[in-house]
Amino acid sequence: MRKSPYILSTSTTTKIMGDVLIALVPAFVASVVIFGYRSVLLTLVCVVSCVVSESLYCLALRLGQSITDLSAVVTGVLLAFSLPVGFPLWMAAVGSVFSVVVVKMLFGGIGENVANPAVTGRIFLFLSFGKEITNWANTSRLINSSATPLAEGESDIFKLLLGFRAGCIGETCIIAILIGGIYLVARKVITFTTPISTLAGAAAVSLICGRNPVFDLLTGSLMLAAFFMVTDYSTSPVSKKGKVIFGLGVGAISVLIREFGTYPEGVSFAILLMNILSPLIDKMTFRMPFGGVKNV
Amino acid sequence: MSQLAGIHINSNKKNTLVYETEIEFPTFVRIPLGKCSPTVSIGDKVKIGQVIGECEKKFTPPVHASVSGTVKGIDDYVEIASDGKKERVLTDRIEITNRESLAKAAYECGLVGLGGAGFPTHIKLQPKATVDTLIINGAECEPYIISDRCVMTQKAREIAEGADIIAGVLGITRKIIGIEKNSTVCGEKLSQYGLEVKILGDKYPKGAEKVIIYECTGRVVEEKKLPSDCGVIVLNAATVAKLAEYVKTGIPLVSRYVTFAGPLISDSVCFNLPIGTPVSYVLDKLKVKAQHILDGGVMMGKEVGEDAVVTKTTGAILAFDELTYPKETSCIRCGRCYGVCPVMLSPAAIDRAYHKRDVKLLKNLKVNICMECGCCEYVCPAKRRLTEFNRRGKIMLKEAENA
Ligand code: SF4
Ligand code: SF4
Repeated sequence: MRKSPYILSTSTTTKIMGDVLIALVPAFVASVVIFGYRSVLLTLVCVVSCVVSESLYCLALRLGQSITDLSAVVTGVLLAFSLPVGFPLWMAAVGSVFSVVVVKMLFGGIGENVANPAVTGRIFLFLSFGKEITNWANTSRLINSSATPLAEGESDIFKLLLGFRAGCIGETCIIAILIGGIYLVARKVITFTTPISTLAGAAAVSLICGRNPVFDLLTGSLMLAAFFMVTDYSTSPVSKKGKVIFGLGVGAISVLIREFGTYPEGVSFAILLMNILSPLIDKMTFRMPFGGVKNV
Repeated sequence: MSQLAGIHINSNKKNTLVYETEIEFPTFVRIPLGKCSPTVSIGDKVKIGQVIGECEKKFTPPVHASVSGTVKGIDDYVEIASDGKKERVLTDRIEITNRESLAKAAYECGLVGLGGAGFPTHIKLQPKATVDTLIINGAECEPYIISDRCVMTQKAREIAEGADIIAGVLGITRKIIGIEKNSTVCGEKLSQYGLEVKILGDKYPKGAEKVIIYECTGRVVEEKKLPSDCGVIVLNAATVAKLAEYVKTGIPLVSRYVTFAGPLISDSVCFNLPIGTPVSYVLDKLKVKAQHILDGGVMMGKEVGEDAVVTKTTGAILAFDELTYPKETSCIRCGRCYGVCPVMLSPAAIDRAYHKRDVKLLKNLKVNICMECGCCEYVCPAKRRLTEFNRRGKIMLKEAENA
């Protein structure tokens, strides 16, 4: 017999993930405009590999199919968005399988994974195929320079906002990302807490290090990450306070890696590091329930 | 003072005064005895207001016959066939002068919390600590239910009189009635009678005891403490009205307002029904065929069988065609349940702790504070049965602590 409550909201996991996908559409369109049709291909390969591998995993382990929640699709899109347009497709497929099977499903599937699948998948590809993932050559007819602004160090803000620069396909067009981000906030999928904390953390460290904060915020994958990766439910703290700490940490570490690290870009590593700290942050920010007294 | 969290749900009610709908008396009633033992035998003739069940420990107040007629059956209930005469027992004048006579009156009236909790009123009226505030709970925050609204519409005077009696005896200085935003129509009369009317926020649940205390006085009832420990007594509006009525007329608790509503009933209707009225009798009159019947609201009610009757705590009967659980999926840690819990619990963490049978963690998460309001489960996109896990977690913790 069913127990109370007997009415439930209409919100479902699938709808939430669907909203995330809708929010990614502007960035997708921008990537096609900027980098050409190969970005469609790259995205498609990642999405299909993610969905198929999750489905096969569930089949093999006789678990219920979970692909209908659309989270595998989101992982695929986000992974593709963190790759350069010329990235070999088979490598992208390998990365996708790694993201879904190793990072997500082996930990128990959605909600149980410690690390963000797309982010960790990208790190895996970076460590395995370092040359290909930093190869910005021939990225677009619209861009003449082949180095990313982060590696190059100069560019003008207008160009950065529109995304006409070398980089991973989904990360360059700041305007498109912001449109998607605002949509997510309007749909109450996320709040501004996390993205703003992330950007604030990055800007603060950038200032302290004597860098150009505007430039730091608009380049690399920081903006895409702030709205779509740092906000990942499974791998970030639940409380507002926790989200602030988490975001500040990601932003700060990202810029620290840019300043002191040997890699030009550190957002993925920053997220992974904070993912690992997330349960700890959750513990630290535990709120005492209403009327609760400390156990003695 | 900040508002406690909660959820916005379609209340399915309009801001109008509510009057009861007339209905014929049923031909028989089946009055649940609860913890009481029967004091009548089969074949006995009884009158309205006659005691038919009593509890030795005097914790649970007595049960009275709600119709006049003949006792037909006794089990954990007393079944009475009505003779249609509505004869009632005559009582002495009831005088309330001190705490003892107040508690005695509440006891003899058979009074319990009519809001649904059913806690014996005479116990509440003998607080161990000094109380300075009486909060009358008129916040019927569940969707559909309009029974208390009906009481506030028709018995504003009795509510005020009851409040005066209680306040006088217990030395209470502040009498607040908390009502919902969408029952403000009742507010005017209530304030004319000298009650302080507090309009509560429009989020569910405003009628939960700890929530209404906080919103009316800013006081926080700590875990394992009673409202009286922070100087407050909370009584449901119908309970207070009934007390005043009993003092005036001597008629104990033999009937109550019950809302009939739900998806199968186009508009909520309110009836004054004898305790023990078979629910099916009223549903038949309404020409409603329901597959599932709830006693209470959609958020905190309970499914009951076809043979259910109106009890002292039945505020509403809701009729449904279908009541099945949607498919449950994995928690995605979205945090929605944390955000809506009025008492700031961590339902998703409790879910995990419960399934790991981690009693220590359940204790640290304070599962005991959960008031089972259902907000967490309502918002969960993964359709986790969070409220049920909380209930079971509470039991698990209690068993471990008693062991
Ligand atoms: S609302 Fe449901 S899915 Fe979201 S954190 Fe709570 S239990 Fe998990
Ligand atoms: S049922 Fe319990 S845990 Fe859930 S919202 Fe209500 S009080 Fe909080």
